[in-house]
Amino acid sequence: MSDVVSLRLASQTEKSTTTQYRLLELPPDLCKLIESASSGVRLEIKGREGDDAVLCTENKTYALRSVNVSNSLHVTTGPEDSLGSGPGNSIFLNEGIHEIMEIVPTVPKLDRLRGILRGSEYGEEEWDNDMRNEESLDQEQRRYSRAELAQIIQASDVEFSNALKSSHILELDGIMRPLPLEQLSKILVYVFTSLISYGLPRKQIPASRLADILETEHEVPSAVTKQVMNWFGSVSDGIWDMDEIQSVRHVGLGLLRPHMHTPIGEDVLLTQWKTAVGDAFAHHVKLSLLRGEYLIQPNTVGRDQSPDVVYFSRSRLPIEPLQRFNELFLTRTRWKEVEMVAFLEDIAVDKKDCDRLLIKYARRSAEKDGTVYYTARAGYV
Amino acid sequence: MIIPVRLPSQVPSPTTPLHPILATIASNETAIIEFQGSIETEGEYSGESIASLDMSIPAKPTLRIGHHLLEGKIVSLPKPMAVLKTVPNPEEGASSPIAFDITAIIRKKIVFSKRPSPMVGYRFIDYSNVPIQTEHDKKTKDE
Repeated sequence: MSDVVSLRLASQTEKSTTTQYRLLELPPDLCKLIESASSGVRLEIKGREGDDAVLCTENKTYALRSVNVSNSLHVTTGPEDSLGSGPGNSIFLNEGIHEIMEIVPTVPKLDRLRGILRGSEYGEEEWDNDMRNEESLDQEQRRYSRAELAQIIQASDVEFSNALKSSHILELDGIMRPLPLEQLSKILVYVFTSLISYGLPRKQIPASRLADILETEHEVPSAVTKQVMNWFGSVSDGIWDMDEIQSVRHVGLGLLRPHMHTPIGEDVLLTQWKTAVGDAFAHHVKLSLLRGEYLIQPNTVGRDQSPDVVYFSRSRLPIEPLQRFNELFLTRTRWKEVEMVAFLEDIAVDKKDCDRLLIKYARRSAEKDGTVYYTARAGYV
Repeated sequence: MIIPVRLPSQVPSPTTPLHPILATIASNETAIIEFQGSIETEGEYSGESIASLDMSIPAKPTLRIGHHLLEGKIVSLPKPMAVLKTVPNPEEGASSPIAFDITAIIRKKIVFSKRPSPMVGYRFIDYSNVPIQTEHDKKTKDE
């Protein structure tokens, strides 16, 4: 066969039937996934119109970026229809492409979850069965099913499911309803007290029995209790393997929550907390469980009583790094490294990313004893 | 909105093969050629022959367009590139009317980045059959 071929232009009929090609640069891990995959792997591009698009595998999210190139790239193919055997003596040039898409791993965009479901919260007044009907819901509020929500939230399926669990979003009657911290905390306290009063085994809790107790004694619908149990551990064969640490943690959070502006003494908080969970679980209680949710008032450290603590949750801070750092430095001008990192972990992909954010948005200084402090960079705050 | 992206294993293979001279850079019957300029046409040129690609010296692919001769080279891409083709979404009742098929993963391309050199002794002949001799050829080829 000749080493010379004719270069032809691929047919360019109306725009709608023109074959549109785009080029996507692949990082090695994704490339391997695509090439080695059996047909099981799923890739999707998600977003609303007006969003920056993201590409999702089943468990990772990547931001899509477009890079312009001055040269023109042409996808070259064989003839469009086989007019006989073999490729003939021609190759076909499609239209020039001046843009390459790149992908960058990113934290899933879950901040929308809170805002979109505002107004759909599951409140205590609904626990009374008589009141649980459609009219009690605010009719103007848009309701979302799980599938509808998945269309809007820019995250992979696994990250989305994990977010629903960690944001404590109930699925009741096909609608997604967030469970506010106050109600969740109360339910957990009921769980702890019921375990003790009914002598249920700590490590192998009978799920249905516990749900019945909560329904009869505390009017918590069993559908709610069952979902809560799945958030804090796992249920299999009717037995709940409770995640004790997370459950204890959330009781503590519920107690700390009202203290956003009025501080509470650390020892007072810990005592209340231990009482709420009962002796059997009190050994889990410690302030470090609430990392990323509290601040110690600096002017109260080192005096005779224990320091004061306020509620300050990273879940309420902006997601955009610049705004988050602004918010952090408005709260305090000077931060110890360990304290600051606790409030960055949810927006950094990994430790390296966290360090990168600190370098970019803060000024580092070290004391003689080796403690590292961060202050605002001039021009940012 | 969710736009599905189908992998090469999930997509029917191209029905028509690409000419074997591009075998060194092609993948799944698709290749990428890059130009510094762009191809501008006036009028309807679908399917018309516009140039002739000569790969007889594998390291020096050349392209003849009109009176010009372009020299190119084969370049490896720093990261593999997926070729996505826009297709109508095969899923019924989906949120997005379109979907993307990944038709090939490309690792090499031909780049024509040197200035075109004019060819002396040009004659209007169908490119694909007759090799055209130029001053350049007379010095280097011995055919």
